[in-house]
Amino acid sequence: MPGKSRGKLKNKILIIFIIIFLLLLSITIANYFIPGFGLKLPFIYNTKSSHSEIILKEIHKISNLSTVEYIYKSVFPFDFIDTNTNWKKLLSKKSKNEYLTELQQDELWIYNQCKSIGINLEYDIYDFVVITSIVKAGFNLEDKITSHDIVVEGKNITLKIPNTIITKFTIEDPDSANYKYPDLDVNPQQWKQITNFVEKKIRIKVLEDGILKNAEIRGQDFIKSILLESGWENVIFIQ
Amino acid sequence: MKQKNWFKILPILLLFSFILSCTPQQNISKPVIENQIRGILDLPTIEYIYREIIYVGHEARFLGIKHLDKRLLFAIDLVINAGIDLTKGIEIKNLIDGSIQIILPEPEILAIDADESTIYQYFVKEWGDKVSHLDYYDEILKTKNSVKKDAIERGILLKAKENTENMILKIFSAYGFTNVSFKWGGTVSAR
Repeated sequence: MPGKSRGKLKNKILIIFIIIFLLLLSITIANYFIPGFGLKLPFIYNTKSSHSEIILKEIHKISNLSTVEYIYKSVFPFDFIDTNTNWKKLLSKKSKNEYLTELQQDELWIYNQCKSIGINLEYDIYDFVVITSIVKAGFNLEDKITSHDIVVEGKNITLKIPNTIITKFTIEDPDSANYKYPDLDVNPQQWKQITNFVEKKIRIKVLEDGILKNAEIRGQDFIKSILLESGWENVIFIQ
Repeated sequence: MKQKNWFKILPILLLFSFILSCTPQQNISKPVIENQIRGILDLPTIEYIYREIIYVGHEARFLGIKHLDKRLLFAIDLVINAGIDLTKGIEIKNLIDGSIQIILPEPEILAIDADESTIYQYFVKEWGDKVSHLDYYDEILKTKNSVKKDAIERGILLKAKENTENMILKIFSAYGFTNVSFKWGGTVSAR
C-alpha cells in the first residue's frame, strides 16, 4: 500500500513537470512565431514587440533630448534704445505730462536708470553693461504624443508633434573672472532693476530671432533621423 | 525504470526551455545596427548658439596726454556643435554575460561657425588709429576660442555624451536589448 501511494505521487510529480515543460515550451514558441503574443511571465525576457512600435513609444522621450540653447549676450543700454530717439523731446513731453507710448515709457525708464549710473544718453556714450542670458527652447513636453497624433500607412508615418516653447530662461550673474568688458559702477539694487527690465525684452528678442522655429527644425531633424534609421521610409510632420 | 529516466531528463528540459525563453529573441546584425548608429550620429548631438559681444579698447598716453583711444563694440552670432567624430570609428561588442558594449570616441567640438551677416556695430571710436577690417577678424577668431572654452565649461561635451547614449539606447531597446554599456576612450559607463 505505501508503495502504491508513492507511485501515485511520482506520477503526479511527473505530470506536473510535463505540464510546466509544455507550458514553457509553448510560451517560448508563441513568443517566437506569433507577433504581438506578448505573454508576460516574471522570468520571461519578452522582446517580441515591433521595432517601430517601441520607437513610437519612445518619441516623447526622444523629443526631450532635442533642445536649442542660446547663450545670449545683450548690451545695456544700446540694445534697448532707438539710436534716433530725441531725448530732449521725450523729456519735454514727460514734463508737460503728455501721453507717452509704452515704448517711450520704457525709453524714459532707461534714460533715468542710465543717469543713476552716470551715463547721460543725450551725449555720445561709450559706457555699457553686458548681460548674459541663457535661453533654452524645446518641445512642450506637457503636450503628450498620443496614438491619435500618429498615422501609419505602410512604411510611412505622419506625426503631430508638440509645439516648441522656451523651457528655461536665466540671467547669469557676472563674475570678474569672466566679465571681459570695462567695469561700470552699478550697485546690486540697480543691477536687479536693469536685469528685471532686460529679461522681458530679451524674451521678446529671442522669439523674434526665431529660437522656437530653430528648436522645431532641430527637433524634427532629430526625430526624423531616428525614425528613418528604425525602418520607416517616409516621415511627415504636421502641426 | 522508465519513470526514473524521465525524472532525470525533465529538469534538464525545463532548464533548457527556461534559458530559451530568457534569451533575447531578435537576431541583430552588427553592420546593420552600426549603420543605424552612424545614421543618427551624423547629426551633431548638441548645438549652442551664442550671441557674443566683442569689445576692443586701446588707450595710450604720453606725458599725460592721450594720443590713442580706439574703441569698438559689436555683436556677432556663433554656432557651436558637439558630437561624435564618426571617422574615428565605432565598435559593437557582444560581452560574455550577454550584454552589449558600444565603443565610441570621446565627443568633441565638431564646428564653430561665426555668422558674419549678424555683425551689429554699437560704436566705434578712432582717436589716433583706425579700426581695420583685420581687427574685426582677429577679434572674431579670438572669440571663437573663448566660446569653445565657455561651451566646454558649460558642459557641452557631457551633454553630447548623454544625448549620444540616449539615442543609441533607443535603437537597441527597439531590438529588445536593455543591457547596453558604453565605453568612451577608456571608461565604461553601464546603463
